[in-house]
Amino acid sequence: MNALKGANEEIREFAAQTLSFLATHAPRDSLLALLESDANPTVRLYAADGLGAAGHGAALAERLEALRTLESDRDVKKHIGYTLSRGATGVDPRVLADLAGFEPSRIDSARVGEPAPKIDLESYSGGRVRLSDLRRVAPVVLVFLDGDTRPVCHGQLVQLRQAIAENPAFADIRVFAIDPHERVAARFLLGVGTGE
Amino acid sequence: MEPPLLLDPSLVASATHGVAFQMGIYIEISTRPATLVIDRCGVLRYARRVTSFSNRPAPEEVLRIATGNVPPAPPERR
Repeated sequence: MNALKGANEEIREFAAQTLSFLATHAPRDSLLALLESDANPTVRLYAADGLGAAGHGAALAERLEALRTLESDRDVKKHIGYTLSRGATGVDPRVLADLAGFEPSRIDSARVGEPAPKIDLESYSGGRVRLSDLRRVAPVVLVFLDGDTRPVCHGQLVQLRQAIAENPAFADIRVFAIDPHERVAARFLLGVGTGE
Repeated sequence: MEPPLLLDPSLVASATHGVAFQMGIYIEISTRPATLVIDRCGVLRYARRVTSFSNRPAPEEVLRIATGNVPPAPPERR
C-alpha cells in the first residue's frame, strides 16, 4: 500500500502490477488515485488491472467510464475497458489458486537436455491438457505467445501447421500455443492459425 | 481435434519457462515469445526465447529437431 504512494515510479509500477494478481479490494482507493493522476502510463495501466482483478460494483464502473473518457494513453484506455468488462467478477479464483500453489523455485527452471517441466493448463476449446500424457506418443512444439496478440505469433503457428501438413515426417508432431491471457483476451487469437 | 491453444492467465507455465515479465510491449511488462521442443521421452530438446516479435526460428528447423533426426542444438544464448 505504501509502495503505491512512493516516489520511485518503478516501485509504483511493480506494486500496482502485483496487486493486479492479488485481487484484493483493500487498496482500491489508492489504485483509483493512481489511475486518476499518476504521470506514468504503466502505473495507470496496472492500477486499472488491479481494480479489475478485485471486481467492482456499479458506482466504481461509473467512475471508470469517466476515467476512460479522459485517459490519453491508448493502452491504458484498453485496460480500463478490460476492467469494466470484468464487472463484479474479478479474477477467476482458479488463477489465484494456481498462484498460491506455485513454488518459486520453479521459476525459469526449464533447461535443454533435462526433463521438461510439467505443463497442465486449460485448453481454450475446453478441458485440460497435460503434456505428460503425450509422453511416448508424440514430440511436442510449444510456442509461447507474447503478451500482445500480434500477427507475427499467428504467422508462426500458421507456418508450423503448413510445414507439418506438407511433410509426412512431421505428421505426429503436436504443436501447442500458450497464451498468457485469460479467456476473454484469448478469443482474439481464434480463427488465425489455431485450427478452430 | 487437438486443443491447440492453452491458457496461462496465472503465468505459472510462462514463469516456469523463463518468459513471464521479460519484455516491454509499449507500456506493459509482458511475456517474451519463445519456441520449445520436447521429445517423446519428455526431455526438453530445444528452447529459443527471443526479445523481438519478428525473431522466430524457421518452422522446418524446429520440426526437424522435434523428429529427433538432428543432433542436439548448442546451448541457448539468453
